[in-house]
Parts: sequence; structure tokens; C-alpha cells
Amino acid sequence: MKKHLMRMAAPMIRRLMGTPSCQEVNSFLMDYVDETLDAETSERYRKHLGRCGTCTSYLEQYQDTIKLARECRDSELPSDLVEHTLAFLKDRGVTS
Amino acid sequence: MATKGKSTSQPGDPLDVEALLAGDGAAFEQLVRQESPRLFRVINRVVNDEDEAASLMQETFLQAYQRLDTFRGEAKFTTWLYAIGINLARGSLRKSRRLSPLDEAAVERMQPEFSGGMYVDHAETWNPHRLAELSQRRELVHQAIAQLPEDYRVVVTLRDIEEIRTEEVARMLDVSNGAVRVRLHRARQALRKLLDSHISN
Ligand SMILES: [Zn+2]
Repeated sequence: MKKHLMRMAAPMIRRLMGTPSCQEVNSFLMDYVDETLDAETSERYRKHLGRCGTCTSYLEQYQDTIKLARECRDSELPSDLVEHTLAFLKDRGVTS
Repeated sequence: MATKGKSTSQPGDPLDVEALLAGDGAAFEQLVRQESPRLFRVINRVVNDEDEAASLMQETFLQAYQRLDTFRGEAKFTTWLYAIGINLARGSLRKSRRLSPLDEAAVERMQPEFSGGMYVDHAETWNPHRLAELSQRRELVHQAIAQLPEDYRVVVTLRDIEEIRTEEVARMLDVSNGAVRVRLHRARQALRKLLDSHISN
């Protein structure tokens, strides 16, 4: 019950203190990662992160997700695909 | 106009757009050599079928050549080329009726939940050792991306895998920058959730 009351009161307390909620921080995640937040919002965000383990962990997972996706870029092209494509185009009068 | 021998073109060279638009065969060959790897990867992420992706890529180059007069120069030439390729890939996917394992509702369920502005579930930082030791990590991530609905898969592919700028991705998909950003954020969060089940336990 006490926890429930805390949750109800939390947004009001935060507003009074001028710090964003975890939900607001979440909505700024992409801008934070891209470093496109204005200085003031960025500062409020950092303050929140400094005190909130959940947001800090979530941010790390979010950044790890981006890194893992990036690792997925494979460089192998099926062999001869370029040559086949050039032959395909040549047959249709594109390349000589 | 300088003529370029085909042996001199290297991936990453700036494209000779003027020569391309004039229908110069050598310039078009350079385009094919330079853009094939990335264009193939993008199309293959959409259709998840290498043979189909290969034939769609050939069709993309052919259509681009046939429609050179519709290139208006508002976008980069490659952006225009990729828009053609992505459209063809999506058309093929629709025709094949192969549905992505996850739908919009599933993506919604994988977004974090909040109560009173706070996370309902508490995330734990992924253990870096566990992450490093995870065998078949690439395959796991590859599979997770393949499960996402097409709209999400394509933005993750273009923005996060290929690192193409938001503005260009928006032009390729013919949507606003804001739409790209919203989809990307939702896609990353869904992907995070999918990966979390493999990494956290
Ligand atoms: Zn927080």
C-alpha cells in the first residue's frame, strides 16, 4: 500500500523538483544516444541517471542492442553476384 | 567528360552522377560494383531469402536504368536507387505472403511498461562476459531482427546495421524523419526485449 502511494505521489514530487520521470527519460533515449538533446535536458537526464539504477541499466541495454545490431553487418556477397548482375544488365542493353 | 577505365573504379569512389544520367555504361558498371554489397544486404534483410534478394537486386539496377529520367536530384542518387530496391523487396514480400513472426501488437507488448512514470520491470545490465561468450551471437541477433515486422526490420537495417542517416532513410522509405525515429526507437526496444531473454538467463 505504501509503495502504491509512493507511485502516486512520485510524479508530483518530481515535478516540484524539476527532474524527469523514468518514462520521460525513456522517451529521450534516442536523442541522448545520438547526442542531440539540448544542454539543459541533457543535464536533467544525466542527473536522473546518476540516481536511477533502472534507467542506467536500461540505457546500457539499449546501447548494447544497437552495437549487437551493428555487428550483424556481413560483408560477404554471394560469389559471382556482381558478375551475374553485370551480365544480366548487359543482356538488357545497359552495360557494354 | 573523363572516361574511366573499369579497372580504376573502387568501392567508395564518388559516383559520376552526370555520366550515370547520360546513360554511360561504364558509369553504371561502377555503380553496380560499388553498391551491390550494401544493396544486397538491405534487400536480403527485407525478404530473408538470398536467391530472391539476388534477383530483386538485379531488377533494381535494371529499373533504375530504365527510369533514369525520373531522378530529380532532390535526393542523393544512391538514396533514389535504394528507394527502388526497398519498394521491390516489399512488393515481393507482400506477394509471397510470408508474414513476419511478430506483429504490431507483439512489438507493442515488448515496449517497456511504466507505472507512475517508473519502470514496472527492472532491467539488469547485461553481463559483458556473458555477452562476449554467447555462442552464435550474430546468429541470435540476426534471428531476432528477422522476427520483427517489416516496417521495424527495415529501419533497424538502414539506421543501425548500415548506419545510414535518418534524413536519407526517411527519403528511401518516403516517410517523415519523425516516423523513422519513432519506428527505430520501438524496434530497438523490441529487439532489446528479444535479446534480453537470451542474455539475462
Ligand atoms: Zn529512472
